[in-house]
Amino acid sequence: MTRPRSQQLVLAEGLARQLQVAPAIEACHRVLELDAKDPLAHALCADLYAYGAFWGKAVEHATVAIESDPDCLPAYLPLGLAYDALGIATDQAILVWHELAELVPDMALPQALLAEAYLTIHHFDEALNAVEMASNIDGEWARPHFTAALIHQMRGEADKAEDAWARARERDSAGEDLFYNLNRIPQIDTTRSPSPEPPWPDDLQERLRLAEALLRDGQLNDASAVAKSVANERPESDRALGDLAAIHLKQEMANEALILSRRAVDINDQNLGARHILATCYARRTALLPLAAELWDGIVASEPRHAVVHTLAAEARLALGDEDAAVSGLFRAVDIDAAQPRPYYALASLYLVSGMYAQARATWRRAGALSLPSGVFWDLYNRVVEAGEAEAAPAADAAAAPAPETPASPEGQA
Amino acid sequence: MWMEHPSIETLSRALAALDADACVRIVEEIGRAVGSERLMTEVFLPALSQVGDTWAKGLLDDLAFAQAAVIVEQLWALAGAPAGRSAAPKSEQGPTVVIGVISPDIHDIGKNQVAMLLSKRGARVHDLGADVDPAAFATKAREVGADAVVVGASTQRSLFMLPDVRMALEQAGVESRLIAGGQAALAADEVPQADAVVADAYEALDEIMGGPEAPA
Repeated sequence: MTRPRSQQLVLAEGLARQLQVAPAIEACHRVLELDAKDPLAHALCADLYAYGAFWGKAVEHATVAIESDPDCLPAYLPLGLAYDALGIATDQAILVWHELAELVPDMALPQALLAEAYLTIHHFDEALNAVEMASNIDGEWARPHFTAALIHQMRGEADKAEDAWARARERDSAGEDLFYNLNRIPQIDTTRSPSPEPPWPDDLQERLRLAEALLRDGQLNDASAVAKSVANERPESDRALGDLAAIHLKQEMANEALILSRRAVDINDQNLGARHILATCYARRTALLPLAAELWDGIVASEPRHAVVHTLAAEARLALGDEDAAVSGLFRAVDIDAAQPRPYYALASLYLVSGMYAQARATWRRAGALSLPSGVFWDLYNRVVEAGEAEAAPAADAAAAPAPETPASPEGQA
Repeated sequence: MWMEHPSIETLSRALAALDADACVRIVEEIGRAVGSERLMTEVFLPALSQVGDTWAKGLLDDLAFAQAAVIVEQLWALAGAPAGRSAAPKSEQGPTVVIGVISPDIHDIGKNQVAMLLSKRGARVHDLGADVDPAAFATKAREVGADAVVVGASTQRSLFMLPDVRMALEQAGVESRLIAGGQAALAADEVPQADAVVADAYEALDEIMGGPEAPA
């Protein structure tokens, strides 16, 4: 049962949302002085302590929150993460993720976390079951497929592991983001979608910018139509063809994407975005992996500061059996950007193959921590707050409603 | 000066004309003449590029472009690049290895890692799984002509069974190298029945394939 939020709690929330950790914890404690069992204040505390890796304190506060209100969704997240981080409490983490999965059946994250916890204790069937549940909820999410790849690898199921790697990599957005970065395609304002309505700009460069904005906004058919109008006017525009290749790849039309990116690269082999799309298409076919690796190596030489290119080149080298080059590329990727989860998954795989299980486990857990969707705690928190407000609204309406006209009973008057 | 292969134009025209039979015939003929690698790099991929050019010029409509892509999908296998992203092609020249965890022991993670690494490096791996009877190693090794038998032993009780494997191999007339791994084998002062004791998958690779740089 959710209680109305006090002003103090709202203040603590505000500070926590701004990640002002110490003042937020202090504000939570002021709430707890007034109500020692306020579940949301305890959940906030738990999350803030977990943020600082004070796992014991996180467990303490999350436990009180859940004891006070078993529906206090946000408390489950820091509790499970803390149990998992403590290393010896994976079984407890599993219980927590099971609970959370039941409370928020529309969310794939608890199932993904459950799969990883089961993987840690080598309960592979349960782990694969959780992977399947997570994929059923969110079929486009890469994380469960990365986990599945590691599970199959630990089981010695090489073909299934390779299939899972392929599914994970196809879903991972790093490659798409790389295309935007290589082509210097700016972020779009997500609050105002670009309009595909004609008339389109006469200037072809400006028209391509519109196509690219539509691509980033996910308006793929419109993006394709705009970019194609440029290609029809100027068939030698490698940028238009590269954009069209990226659009087709996103539409899962891999052969069309290969044809167009190949044409773009034949026109201008310095078009790095098109080279990347072509490499991505090549990498989907075993026999063309050497060509993919060459293309990504070339991009690495031109743009060595992009961690993702190092990762992609390393993954191709790994698939070709060149583990030394793969290791060096993956560590270079981590050096450049330690917050990218993808190289850690590949490193975990290499550690497993090398028999370094503890390193593998630490590495996939790091990948998992980096893959935690931002704002998931607040998503859970907001659900509880909204449920509380929805619960409170009818009561408030009832209180504000005029008194019934029927005469009160004598008991009522008393 | 580098000359474009004359068949590029023929193939791209056949693709644009959506003439699947002609495409298949051209790809097969060129494949026979120049081999799959040159077919791919000198003819097939450049022809696809020309199809892209035809579409960009508006000489091929969107529906025809999609149909051409369907024909391309059929041609991949003929051109030597079927769908799928698996590890590097396995060599037919790699050593033959029989691997398993000896009974009574079910700790198979290390064995799985060794099996996967060996397989990726081109070995023909016959994985017997966990909790394997000592005689089964010899039976399989004789059947497949194994170059090496890798036995995982993570418990003392399973390590005690290693002499039985050696005896079974000798009785079967198998001259494969016997390589032991696993916690118990590593912890033992010596494992006289084994030709080598390995600490991890890479050491196993060194023993069997002559080092991690061995070609796949």
